[in-house]
Amino acid sequence: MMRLVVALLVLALGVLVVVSMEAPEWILAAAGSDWFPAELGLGAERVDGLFDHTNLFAAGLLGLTFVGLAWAVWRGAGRRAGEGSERSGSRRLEVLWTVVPAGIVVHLTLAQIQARDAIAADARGGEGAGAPLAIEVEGVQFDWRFTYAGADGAFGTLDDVTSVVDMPVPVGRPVELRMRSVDVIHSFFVPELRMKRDVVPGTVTPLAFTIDAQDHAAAGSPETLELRCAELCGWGHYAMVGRLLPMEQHAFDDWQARAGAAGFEAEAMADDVEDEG
Amino acid sequence: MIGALRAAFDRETTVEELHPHEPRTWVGRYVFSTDHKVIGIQFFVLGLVMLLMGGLMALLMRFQLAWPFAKVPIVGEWLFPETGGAMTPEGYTALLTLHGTIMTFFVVIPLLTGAFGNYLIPLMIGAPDMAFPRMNALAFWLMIPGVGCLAMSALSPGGGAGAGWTSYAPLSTVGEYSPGSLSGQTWWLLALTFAGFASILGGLNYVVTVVKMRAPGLTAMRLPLTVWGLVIAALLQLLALPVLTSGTVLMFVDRGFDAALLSPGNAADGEGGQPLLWQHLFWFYSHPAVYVMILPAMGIVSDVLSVHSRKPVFGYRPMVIAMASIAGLGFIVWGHHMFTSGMDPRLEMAFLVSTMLIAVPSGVKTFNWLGTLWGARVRLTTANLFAIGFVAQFVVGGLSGLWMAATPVDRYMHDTYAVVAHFHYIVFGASLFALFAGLYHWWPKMTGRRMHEGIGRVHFLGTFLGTNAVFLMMHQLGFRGMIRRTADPTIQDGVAQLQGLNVFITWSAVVLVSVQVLFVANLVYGLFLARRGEDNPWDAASLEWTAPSPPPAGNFRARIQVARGPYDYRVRPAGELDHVPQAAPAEQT
Ligand SMILES: [Cu+2]
Ligand SMILES: [Cu+2]
Repeated sequence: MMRLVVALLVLALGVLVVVSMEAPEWILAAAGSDWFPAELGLGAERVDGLFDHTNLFAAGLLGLTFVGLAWAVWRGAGRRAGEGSERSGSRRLEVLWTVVPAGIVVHLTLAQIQARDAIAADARGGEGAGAPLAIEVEGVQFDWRFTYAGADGAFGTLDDVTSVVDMPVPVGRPVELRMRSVDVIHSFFVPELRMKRDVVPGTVTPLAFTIDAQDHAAAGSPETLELRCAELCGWGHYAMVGRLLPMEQHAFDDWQARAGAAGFEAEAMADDVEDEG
Repeated sequence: MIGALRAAFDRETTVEELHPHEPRTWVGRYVFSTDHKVIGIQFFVLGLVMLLMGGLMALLMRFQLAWPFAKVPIVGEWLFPETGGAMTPEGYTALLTLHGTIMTFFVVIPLLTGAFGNYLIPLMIGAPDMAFPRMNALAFWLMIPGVGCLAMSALSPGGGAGAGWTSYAPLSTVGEYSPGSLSGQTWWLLALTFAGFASILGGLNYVVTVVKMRAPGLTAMRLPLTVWGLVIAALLQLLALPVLTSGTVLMFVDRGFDAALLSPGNAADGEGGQPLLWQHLFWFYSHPAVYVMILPAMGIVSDVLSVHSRKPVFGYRPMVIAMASIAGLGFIVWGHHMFTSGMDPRLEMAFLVSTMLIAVPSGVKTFNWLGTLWGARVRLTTANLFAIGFVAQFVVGGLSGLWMAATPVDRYMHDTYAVVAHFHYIVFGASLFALFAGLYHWWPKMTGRRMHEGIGRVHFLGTFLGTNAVFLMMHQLGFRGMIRRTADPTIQDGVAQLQGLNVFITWSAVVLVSVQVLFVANLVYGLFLARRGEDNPWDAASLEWTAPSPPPAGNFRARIQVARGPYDYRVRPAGELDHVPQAAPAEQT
């Protein structure tokens, strides 16, 4: 009785693990939804592809070991004194289960390195991409601040645009972030981009991404994507959220012009107030 | 000179030398004892009590994750009076810091190395005690101020340390960045230092004991795998802990003197310190520490599987080589915790490759456990059930490690619940299952009584189901993007849709913790109610079962001479002895 229970439990766990990695995907896909957030960054598909490819081997190895374990336990618990084997090793088997996993490891490692380089190239917009849009990102307990160069494309000029929480980005254009932290380590994480990069005080960390115009349209052109701080940065870490606002290039230009003008006016007003005071 | 050194090394230590004046008082014998068995049991008591604490903290955290900022039942008003019983975000970060610190440094490491290491090593190598019994006692007693400092940290004004068990700088070094970065963080550092010194002293002791005090004939390749696991773990501690200690010293200086060694400080010109330095030092220790938490567990499981399945460990030599290579590789993979920190791509590549390589020896171990069970006469004792559960869950936790090695995937999974699921499958699903397997297995050795097998089986079933109910679906939450150390997952829109899963996990955690009442009941039964039994109830072959159960001071009644390995199990008809004790003379086969 117990042997059957244990064998079935082991099998059930194996099935559950494999199914839970793959099936929700299918079930939700049938329902028109997705378990993973949509793949909106260029290169995001490669990340998920690498994940699936890894899981192919993981599921194979897991299936093999779990079926073997369940069988060995079920069969072994039924043996009586005088039955069974005394075997304490096998050179052939050791070579086999060293070489085969090693082969898989080499294959996966090569696939990972290849994907890594391809993703880095994709993130910068791939071949023939236009000039990247530079945005300066500042993490501060517990907010995200962004600075845009404005129409003149140069930082530190009067038409620089700043924004808090909201981060408008043009769709289809490579974006290059230069990230700084005012206080502790934060981490820039947008699930849809399949990217995460720490924001470390004292250094500037770069991050490049491009929102894929086709994927964005296919996903129903979402107007906001969640930007999460992923690194524990203090008590307010859980609430350190920003919003990535993907928009068409012209809408982005409009926003930048409007925000720039508003900022200019605000600054001028502040100057006036100072003059009067 | 070498000859003299040799002679000094080869001289045998006697029990009288180790315990010159056998203590007569109760306190001398059971409290400030230098007997490795008493110290081992003291570590068990400490570790299990801390396990209960850490588990209850996990329940509190799970409550918050299922019902964010709702009034915490029972203890809410006592813990969070200022909010009328609802958890505060500071409270949550302090809890996650305490939970991680306790489970790593005060539960899994002291239970596996301190408790099993102390109790088993001398018995398994046929020695009367440890090489340095007083240092051994000191190692245990250093843990007590460590626990005290942790308590001080939790109770300090401004709240407990709140930078996580990893305590990344500068959140942990600059006071104003975190409420718990006031004195709470300093107490946390002290707690870590005490635990670290205890580990160094213990590790030194284990290595010297195994090198110096093995019974005649007990060659390296005749050592039980448990001893191998413990010695390799001790070496890891000895080589890696000084690096962590250098990090904690830097942090002390930063906190005490505003030195800004680990933060850029006020230097706008970039002349300040480097926050990443702490991460490198921390993970240079803490990745090997992961293997300190798994190698002894692997050894224990190998022994338990072999004894209770009446078959020699399959592939003994490859098992030893696999453990050694896991440990060796363990020193060059720490950077995989920092794939998002922005390191040089070439360095990143090196860490990717070294991390992937660990899959090979881990696979060798798994297949050899299967080989041990294959064709065996498997007895489904509680100890064996937990060992089988270990193998299954180790495979799950090991394979999910492949995602973390693949840098592009890791950049998605890092700091999400996929990582939380991954390492809990290892430290809970594997390490703690090995703890249970080992406790059920060696309980008769320690007490002379067996725990109740019926209660034990139900305890296993509940724990196995509970573990997977709690941790399996955390992978999915991570896939959705739920970040770690968040006090409120519903803030993330995508994750909020899956809040039902968080509620399910919390209820499963309640079940998992409740099931442990059976374990406590079994401890009580095993201590007081069970019949005093035989010296060797499992018919085990290794040396420790040659001694009486429980063993007297000095352990063995007769001199031990070893002529074979520890796993001489055979196929014999009923009524005949199916194993050859390791201490049996060579002629008897
Ligand atoms: Cu944060
Ligand atoms: Cu690691």
